[in-house]
Amino acid sequence: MNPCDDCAIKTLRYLGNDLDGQELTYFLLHLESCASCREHLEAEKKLSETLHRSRPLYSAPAALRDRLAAATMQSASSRTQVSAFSRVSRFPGERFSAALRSLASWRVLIPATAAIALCLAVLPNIERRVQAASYVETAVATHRSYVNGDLRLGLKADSPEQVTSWFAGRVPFDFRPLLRKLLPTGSPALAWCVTREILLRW
Amino acid sequence: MRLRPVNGQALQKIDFNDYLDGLYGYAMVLSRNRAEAEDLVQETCLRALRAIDRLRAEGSAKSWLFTILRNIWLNQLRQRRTAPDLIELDADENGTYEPVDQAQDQAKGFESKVEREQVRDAIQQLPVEFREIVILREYEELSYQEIAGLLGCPVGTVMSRLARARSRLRDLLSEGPQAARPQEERPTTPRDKEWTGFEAEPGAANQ
Repeated sequence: MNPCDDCAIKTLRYLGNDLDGQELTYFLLHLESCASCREHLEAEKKLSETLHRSRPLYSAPAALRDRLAAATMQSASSRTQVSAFSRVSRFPGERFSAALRSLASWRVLIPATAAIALCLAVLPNIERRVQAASYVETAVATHRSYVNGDLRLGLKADSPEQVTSWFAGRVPFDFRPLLRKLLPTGSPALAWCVTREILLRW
Repeated sequence: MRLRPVNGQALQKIDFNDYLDGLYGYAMVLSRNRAEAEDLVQETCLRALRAIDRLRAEGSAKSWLFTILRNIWLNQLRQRRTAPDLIELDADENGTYEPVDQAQDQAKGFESKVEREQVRDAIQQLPVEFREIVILREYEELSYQEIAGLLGCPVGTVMSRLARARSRLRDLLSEGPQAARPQEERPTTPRDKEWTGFEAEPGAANQ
């Protein structure tokens, strides 16, 4: 009983449920017409059953199981001890070095550098805008106080030197009255008061 | 004998008890020597313990263990530089290692024992390449792809080798108990010469 050329392997695949679709259809059709392959298939089925009945072919000796169990326990406990010991006894410097080494990898450095650069570029602008907004708010509030007659005078003087000396020590720079040329005469006080408010906010 | 890797990675747990009989059977068909088979299995498990971290979560622990065992055996062959001993079955081999099967009655138990011994003897008469294939496919139920990876050969080769192995095995079993005779007494044929013995494959990796 000799199977057809490629039927020996297809028979094995069929027994292993590895044939499907068209291959399975053709194989089954072939079996219907080929007695040799049918006999071969039956013989292979019997052999498979015989082999499966004889499982397991060998059983490991009990002594071997015991030796392996002991070896495994010993290995597992030594791995646990080494791991715990390494966690407990590692120096802080070593941990720091290890952390630095992990941070020094390019995958961490590049995004971190990009984030820092972005912050350095964007934050000053944001800060300036926030400060500018506060100046505007102060100026508007002070003007409204003046309009409502709620603005108190910090100084009333006709002399620029008096104004300069009044500001001396209140501001971190040398204040010089510049608005005298711009304002109509007789009304320097408003400018000084507004300026004082702004500088105090500064 | 359950292991979990300690390094915290997502790796498999391996219970060697699940694979011990299979590993021992594979070692027996490779070495055909009880003491050597026990050493092979022991060394396999110890190496697996040391290399457990390398086993990926998606990998097959079974084929991994069998690969380790085979590589150890190949290394031993290379060191010995001899063909495997074909005859050295222990005198008490046939009666010692029956699987415990308390459910069968005595008659059936005796029949199955006899049948198992016949199958065992017939398999041991096969060339080593055929023995491997039969054990890995028919008893350990590894896939053709896994066997191909383990043996380092194409899937087609595995299939054709299995077909030939089964054909030889069928012949041996049909001959009955008289098939259980030493290898050297069997008449050699060109095909036997082609397959007898085993030459260590140059590319076989050390584990």
